[in-house]
Parts: sequence; structure tokens; C-alpha cells
Amino acid sequence: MQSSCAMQKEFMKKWMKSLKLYSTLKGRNTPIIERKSAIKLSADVAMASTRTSSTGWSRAVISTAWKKMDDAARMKVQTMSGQKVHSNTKLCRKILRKSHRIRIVTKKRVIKRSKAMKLVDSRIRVLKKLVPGGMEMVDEASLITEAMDYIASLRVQVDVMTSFASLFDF
Amino acid sequence: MSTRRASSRQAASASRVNEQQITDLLARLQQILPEIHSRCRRPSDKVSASRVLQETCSYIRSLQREVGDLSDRLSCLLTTNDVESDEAAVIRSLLMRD
Repeated sequence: MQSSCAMQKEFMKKWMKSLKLYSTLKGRNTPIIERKSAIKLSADVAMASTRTSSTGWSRAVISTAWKKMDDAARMKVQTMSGQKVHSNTKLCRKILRKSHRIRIVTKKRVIKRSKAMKLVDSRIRVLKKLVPGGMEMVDEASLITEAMDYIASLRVQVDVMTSFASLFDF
Repeated sequence: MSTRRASSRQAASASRVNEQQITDLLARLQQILPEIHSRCRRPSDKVSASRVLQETCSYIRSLQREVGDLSDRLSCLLTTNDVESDEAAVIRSLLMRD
């Protein structure tokens, strides 16, 4: 795993690049709500592009951001992340079919879940909703690994954005 | 008959291996979470799996909320033309800090 300093620098560079892109595309005098979503979107894309193709959550973040962008922005993101963004629908259908098959097999054996395990199951369901791309994961172990990586990247994002914001408070 | 029992024993041991893997991952996750980590001073097995998962979910939620609040603040502070001039200053300051 990279050191957090190196990660912060990488995130910062990518975020600045995407913010610059936004300002060249949109020009001046944009309304504040649009500015906020642009800042957040570019920060999310920068965070995900530090990890692209190695983690499922980064792919999910980029594909949701993809839908919010227009074509010029999409071109730039593609070159920045260095990878083609595939449409998610084919992948989803394949995974749905596979999980459906697995469901049918396990129905034959009724596994008794204790109260504690039911609680763990409900918590895992909540975690699936929080981690981007989590709903498509069948394996618990990979969900937890993704969550750990996502938390580390979120921390980097928050640290860089905080120090950036603190530069303006004087 | 015996093959069914053997296969069920195999499946049970496979699920046991999986559970061990999951407990290891949860232990690592516990190390990352700030609240549990600072409160318990690293006991080996005291925290339950559901508690770790609950703390994870609330931690992720609070981090995401912080990102939203920060981008709110930044959208007030930045105008689109400011970004280009500030970029160099910020990167320089971050690099100098390290």
C-alpha cells in the first residue's frame, strides 16, 4: 500500500487537473450548486482514478460519475484514468444470472442462522449499500477488503480537501 | 451415502476456512476504525463482528458527509477562475509540508 503522503499528492494532482478541466469547460459565473457538485464529482473521480481497475468500488464510482458528465468531460476522464469505462449493464446481468444460480443451489440446504448471525447479515447489507459497487458483490470477504480500501481513500480525500479549504481561512 | 457425507464434510471445512478468512479481515478492519481502536487499546477478541461492521458503516457515512460539507465550503470559497491560479500555490504548500 502506498504511504498516505504519496496518495495525498496523487489525489491532489488529479483533483486539480479535473477542476481545471471543469473551469475551462464551463467558464465563469456558474451557480453555486453546480460548483459544489463539480467539486465533489471531480474529487470523487480523482479518488477513484488513483485505484482504477484494481478495486471494484473505484470502477463503480467512475461509472456513476460517467453518467453525470457530458462528452467533452468524459473524454478527459478517460485519458486521466487511463482506462476505458465499460457500460455496467452487461456485467450486472451476468452477475445477476450467476447469483440466481447460486441461490437455487443453496435453497436445498436450509442453514439455521442464529440471532447473532442475522444481525451480522443485516449489517453486511447496510455496508453493501454504502460501499460503491457493493450491491453487486456476492463474496463477503471481498466486500470487506473493498470497504477497507475505500475507507483509506476516503480519508485521503478528506485530508486533502480539508487542507485545501484551510488555505482559504485566514 | 458416504460420498454425500464426505462432500458435506468438505463443504463444512471450506466454510470454516472462509470464516477464518473473514475473522482475519474483520480484525484488520478493527485496526483501521478510530473509535474502536482508541477505546479498547487493542484487545484481541473482545469486539463482536456485528459491532465492527456497525462502526465501519457509521465511519463511512461520516466520511462521506465530511466530503459533502467540504465541497460545500469550497464551492463558496472558490470561483471558477480562482482554481487555476490557486493550483500552483496549493501544490507547492503541500509539497513543502512534507
